[in-house]
Amino acid sequence: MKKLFYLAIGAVMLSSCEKDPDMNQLDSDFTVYTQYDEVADFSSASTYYLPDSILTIGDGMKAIYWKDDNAQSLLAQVASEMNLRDYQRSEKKEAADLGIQLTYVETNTQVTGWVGGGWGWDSWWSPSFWGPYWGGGWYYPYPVSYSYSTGTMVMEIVDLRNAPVDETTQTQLPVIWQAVSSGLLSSSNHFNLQLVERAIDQSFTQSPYIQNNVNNK
Amino acid sequence: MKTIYHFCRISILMMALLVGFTVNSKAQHFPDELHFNLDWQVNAPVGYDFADKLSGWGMNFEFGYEVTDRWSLGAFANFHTNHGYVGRETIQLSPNEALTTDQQHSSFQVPFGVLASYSLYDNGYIQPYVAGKVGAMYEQNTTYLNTVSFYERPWGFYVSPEIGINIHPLKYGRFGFHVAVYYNYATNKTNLLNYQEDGKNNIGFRVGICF
Repeated sequence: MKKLFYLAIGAVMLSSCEKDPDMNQLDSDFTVYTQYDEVADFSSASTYYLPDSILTIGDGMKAIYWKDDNAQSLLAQVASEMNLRDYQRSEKKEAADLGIQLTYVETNTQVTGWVGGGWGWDSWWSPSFWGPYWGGGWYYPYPVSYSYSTGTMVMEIVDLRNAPVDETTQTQLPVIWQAVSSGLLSSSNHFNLQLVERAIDQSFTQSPYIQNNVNNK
Repeated sequence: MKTIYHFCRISILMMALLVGFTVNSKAQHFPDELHFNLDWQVNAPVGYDFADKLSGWGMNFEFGYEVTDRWSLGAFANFHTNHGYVGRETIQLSPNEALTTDQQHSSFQVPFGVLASYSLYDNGYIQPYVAGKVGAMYEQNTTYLNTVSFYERPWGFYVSPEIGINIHPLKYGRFGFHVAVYYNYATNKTNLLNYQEDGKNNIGFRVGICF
């Protein structure tokens, strides 16, 4: 019995003594992850379409179009980044080479099973938003293994250049770039907005391949 | 500082508990050839930059049985945690993936196995010795980002030379103090983000009691 006692003491000592690190040492900036399709030709695209709203996913996985001044500020920042890379903003999505969609996840629910083409919720960006012929769903031309949680900004670029002429043909829409920025949110909306702005800036900074070479010739 | 104080307090409490149970209730039944060491240890990984900051978050326990006047055989187990903060940087995860983040690294090591020690000198008060330890090491390496963490838990082969001294306030008394310095190497391998570990080296020292 006493041997068991000593063993128990030993086991407790060994298992309970891992020291947790000081998480306060981590900065508050979002973690920024980007991935792109290496086959996609970013340089030959010249125009892009950016919607006037950001989809936000809140509790209950309800999607709301975010259109206030803060949303417009973030959208303007994305447009500025694209313009700096010599892309021209198109007023009509049918005429654009690239489409940009922004989704902000602020729910406490972990979002899983979304990526990889399993587009199961009507409330998210629908492929048909980009045209009636994109009825085959999304696809990512690269392996994706990511899940989203609180305070996550997702930016994606879809390639609209291969839309079928015949609208009755249903084709999958390729997502050729994604940027996922995650972090803990504070109680200050102003500070949270700054974090998202810095994350958008970093997303483009670490994606130098997003550069048009047609308009600047 | 408060955390270190808290850890030391817990360690001392546990040492006192163990000593109390072993010395007071069982010491008279232990053969003279059997001896124990219980130590607080300071450890620093060397030659590798994952969780490479020196720390005192560890303890060591071992026992030995004197098979001759100079040789003892026994067993040991210890644990240690080291941390290391890495500032924000952009990591190229693959040709088409990049990640910008800062990281808090943590490495938790639990080696255990058998030991052999050789007494260099013994005048009843001090007993310097050299020892060799071999065994297995469990390790958990974790990198913490702001909302997620990634970890790996490899096992490896462990070897450690050590030199130390037992100091007895009473000549040939059972109770005494123990000081040792050590080096160890383990074959554990991990691959976390941009940090690849292929074998682990540590140096450190131990301060504790022997009985």
